[in-house]
Amino acid sequence: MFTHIRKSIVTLAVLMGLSTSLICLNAFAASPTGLDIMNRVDQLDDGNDQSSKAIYTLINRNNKQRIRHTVRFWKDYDGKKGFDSKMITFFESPALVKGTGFLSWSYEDDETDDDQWLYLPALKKERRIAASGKDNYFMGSDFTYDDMGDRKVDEDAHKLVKSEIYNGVDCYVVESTPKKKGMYSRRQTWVEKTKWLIQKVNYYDRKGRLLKTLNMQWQNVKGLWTWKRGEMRNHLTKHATLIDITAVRVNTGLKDRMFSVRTLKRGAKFK
Amino acid sequence: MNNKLFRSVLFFLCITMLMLPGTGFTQSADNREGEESLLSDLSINGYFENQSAYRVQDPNRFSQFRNRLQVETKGTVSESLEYFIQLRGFADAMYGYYEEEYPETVRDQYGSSLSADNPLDEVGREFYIDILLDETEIRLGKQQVVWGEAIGLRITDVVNPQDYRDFILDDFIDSRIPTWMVKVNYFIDDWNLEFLWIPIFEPDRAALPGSDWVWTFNAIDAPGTTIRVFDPEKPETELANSEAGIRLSGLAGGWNLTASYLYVWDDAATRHVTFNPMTSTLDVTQQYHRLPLWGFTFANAFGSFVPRGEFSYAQGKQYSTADTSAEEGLVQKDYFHYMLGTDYSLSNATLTLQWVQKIIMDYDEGIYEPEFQTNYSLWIQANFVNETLKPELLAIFSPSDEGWLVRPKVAYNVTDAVTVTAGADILSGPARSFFGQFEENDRVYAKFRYSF
Repeated sequence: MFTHIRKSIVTLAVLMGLSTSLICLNAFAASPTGLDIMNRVDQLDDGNDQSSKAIYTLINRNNKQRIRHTVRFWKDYDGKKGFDSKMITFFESPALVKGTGFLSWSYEDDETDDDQWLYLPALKKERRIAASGKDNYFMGSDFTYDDMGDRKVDEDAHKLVKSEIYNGVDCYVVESTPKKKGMYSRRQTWVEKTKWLIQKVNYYDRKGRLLKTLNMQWQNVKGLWTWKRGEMRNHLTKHATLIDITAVRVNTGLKDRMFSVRTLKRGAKFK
Repeated sequence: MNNKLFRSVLFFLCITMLMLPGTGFTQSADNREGEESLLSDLSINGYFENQSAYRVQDPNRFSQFRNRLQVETKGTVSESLEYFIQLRGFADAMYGYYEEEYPETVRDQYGSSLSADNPLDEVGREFYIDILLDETEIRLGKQQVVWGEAIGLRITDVVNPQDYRDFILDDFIDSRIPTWMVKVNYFIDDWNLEFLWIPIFEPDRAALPGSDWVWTFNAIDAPGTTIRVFDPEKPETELANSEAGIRLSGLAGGWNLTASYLYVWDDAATRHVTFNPMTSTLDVTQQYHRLPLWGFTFANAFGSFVPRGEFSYAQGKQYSTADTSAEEGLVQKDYFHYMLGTDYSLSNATLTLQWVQKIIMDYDEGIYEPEFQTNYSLWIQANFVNETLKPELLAIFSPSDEGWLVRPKVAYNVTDAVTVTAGADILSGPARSFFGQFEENDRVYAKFRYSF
């Protein structure tokens, strides 16, 4: 009798434990935290390296357009020698900026600033530039360096605000508040629930006003999701920038020397 | 060997290399991932520019109406052979309009590149080929080499001589005189070892007597004597007179570092003075002397700051002295020249502050130049309206001679092809100061540039 009761109690305890676990798992699946979501976004497979062309269309409030053609090479270092990733970009046109190059080395350690260099053909010289300029706009566009993917998940506190359908896609809406003072007071990000792809971002300035909105379109290249188009609209200046990404190549085995000051000065072509 | 003949041989060698695509340099250049080959990527770019300046001091008048056309092309001959050609011509209508105010030599040299002494040399600004091997790059031809970290001042950036026809107001990229050179770069990881060999010595191009920017601050003052100044003579073009340099550059612990050594000639001629008391005649002959130069630079980024430094140590520069016992009025001294500065980045502006000092070592009181020459400089670059509006200010103050230069300007990109700029060059200081000698040349200017 006593043994039977003890077995029943143990069984009940095990069942209760399992139930609790299942309830917890179910609860996570139903509503992950903001940090969980942004980690999933961050962990999307970018491949080992990427090469692509990008066309920047800069549109002012009078609808006047300026177009820049660039090529971009990126490589994931995944902590090798302390690096997170390296990226190099060159402007191919217009003549005004042709040959301008930008090289960035990003480190795994969040506390370590990126190393960045700019090559200006008008000076025939590469120049070390301040890494704190992540809030700076990239070559006259409406994208800051941070907006283009430099920002690390740990730099913000994330909160899941709601779920909603955006452009026919079921999305989580996550609010991210920077831990250190920056140019934005907060960001709201619409993340597609099934693929963890960012569909839209609202950026709020320090006064809490809606400053910019980014809408994104994605393309799948060899099983990896990469940007197809990013459309950033600045609501205060009425200026907008479209980035169209074409000719994406992934995992082509880019060599380390591609991401060097040597290449920055010489340039690299895209076939 | 005659200079012109030597240049012709170099020119011929460059052409020959271009005519021989795929001449055995077939190693792949890994940093050219995904490149297209042969002449498929031929590109032609350049600009047309008009700069018109108005002199704001007496005599108030236009002082410049210069049109400049630059065309450059680069292309790939084979996977490991590329070429670059840059041609530039100019014509300044002011030297025709105010014909009576300038001597013929000035009108010729300043009026048009076609009337200059050597029009081909003037117009054929850069011309070189690149041979790209796995770890090595070789550049042969007429070229510019840009070293150093300082802005607006040359400390180790002395590989190429400078054209002073427009004082120091032209951008360095335009005022550096490209020279015939062999440059070899060898790369190991993040380090680069660079070798230079310059077979033909080219000196600085001083402003001509009678022109607006001729230097007077160091003029020889000898009342009651007849002064005869003889033109400088360049050293013969021979192997022993060639120039060479080596530089190691790289990255260590986040620091961009370079160390260099140049075995070059002083690009500025030295004045040798002999006085004949019988005739009260002062003969000034101008000669070029060797000036070996050691260099070191650093740069790093810390948050919004990018500290930079540049140092050079020159051995045995000839200095003019008042010491009558000095042979030909000269003493030989080393000098130490350095810059310490920093960039500070704001969201849409960069401030660059520099402290620059030149110290003559083992100084003698009779030397005309001061023992310490100090300059402070401030450079502010800002951009607005999505980088279409770019105000800029460069200010240099020299407490040593109390001269200063202020250069405000604002550039606006009307379109991607058209940029208009308005600015001013304001110089001030005592007449015997570097900037003050041109106190009466203050000017405002407008510039139009069409890039293609």
